[in-house]
Amino acid sequence: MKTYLPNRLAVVGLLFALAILPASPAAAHTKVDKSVPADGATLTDAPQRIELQFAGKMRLTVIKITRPDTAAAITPQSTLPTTFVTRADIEIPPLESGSYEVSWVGVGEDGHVMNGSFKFHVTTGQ
Amino acid sequence: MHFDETIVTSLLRAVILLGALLAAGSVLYAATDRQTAISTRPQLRTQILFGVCVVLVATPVSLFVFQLAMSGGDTSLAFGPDMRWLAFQMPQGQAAILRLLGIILIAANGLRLLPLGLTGAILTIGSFTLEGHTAAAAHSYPWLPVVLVIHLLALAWWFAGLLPLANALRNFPADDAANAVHRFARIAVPAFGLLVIAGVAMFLALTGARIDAANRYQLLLLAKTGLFAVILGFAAYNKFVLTPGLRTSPANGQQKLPVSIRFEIILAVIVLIVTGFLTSTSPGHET
Repeated sequence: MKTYLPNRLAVVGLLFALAILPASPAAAHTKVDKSVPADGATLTDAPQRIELQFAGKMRLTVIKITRPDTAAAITPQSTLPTTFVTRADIEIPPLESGSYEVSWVGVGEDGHVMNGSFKFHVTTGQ
Repeated sequence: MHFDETIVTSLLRAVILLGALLAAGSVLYAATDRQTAISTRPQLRTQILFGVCVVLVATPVSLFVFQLAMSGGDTSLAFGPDMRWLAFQMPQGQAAILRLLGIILIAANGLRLLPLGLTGAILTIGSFTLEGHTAAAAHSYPWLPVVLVIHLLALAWWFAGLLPLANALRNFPADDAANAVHRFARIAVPAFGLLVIAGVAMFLALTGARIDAANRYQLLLLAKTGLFAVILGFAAYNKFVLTPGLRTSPANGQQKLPVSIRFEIILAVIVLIVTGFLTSTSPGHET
């Protein structure tokens, strides 16, 4: 007599596995400890560089600086570090007054991809 | 600029782990039980073929997903030569190269020359030490990669041996089937011991021996441990109840044991899926 019990268990088991698995991402293994400018900062002098400090070593793969109001992208003047670092300094061109958003993507030493963003506001000449 | 690759990556990791364990484990099983391996050669070859195909397809796909994630979901950047080169410099890229080398060696050799097959199996299993939590924690715990290899070798041997064993029970004469099960059990006991000891050692190293019920990694690990405990229950039931029954009531034993083994296989696949998600979750002491 053929038994179908294992097949039923398979369905129940897979449903159980799906139920206990994370529904939201949990891959952020290394976080940004500190950024310069800080998230939400208002600056009277335009920054000349963006600094990111990570809790663990990170290989930065992408950094994008945009102005959300005009959708303009600011091209960094220096290249990204080519090794795993805990601190990255990115030179940027002079910024005009306005709001800016910095988005970054990096890979931790364990190979996990992490990303984040922060905003700051420049009031130069206002 | 955001591409959440966690779920896709976790599932791909589970699939790659399944394929790698099946292919490498089939070689290991053939090396430890030549008698059963000769009689179940077609079964082992099918397992190797399936495992090899899974790894050959899923590994490049996982690298593409990794490139896409590294570029924040920007496809034009993701598949450019710069990001491809960067991917191969990362732990995932290096692990993928080693894994593909190992799996190609297994595929080319099959079950012909065992030393060559075993080299392929060790390369395939060893590739998992180059990425993930173990690789990251190896600075503090240099023995961790060795422990992971032991853990995975024991797991691969056991996992790949289950189907040929069920096959032997169905098709072998009663005495031969009983002997095959006894040979399996003789190695399974120390293999399970190594599996558990290595698992505990990795847990202690990765979590810093701190229990945190709010930590997703530890909850998943708890689920994995619970499922594994059920598998152990099945294994103990097989060894202490069904296996002795093979001698006293062969027909009954040869009918019940394959069903119980199928339960173990299903639970093992679920454990592998949970493991895929574990590898994408922070153990809790890094952040």
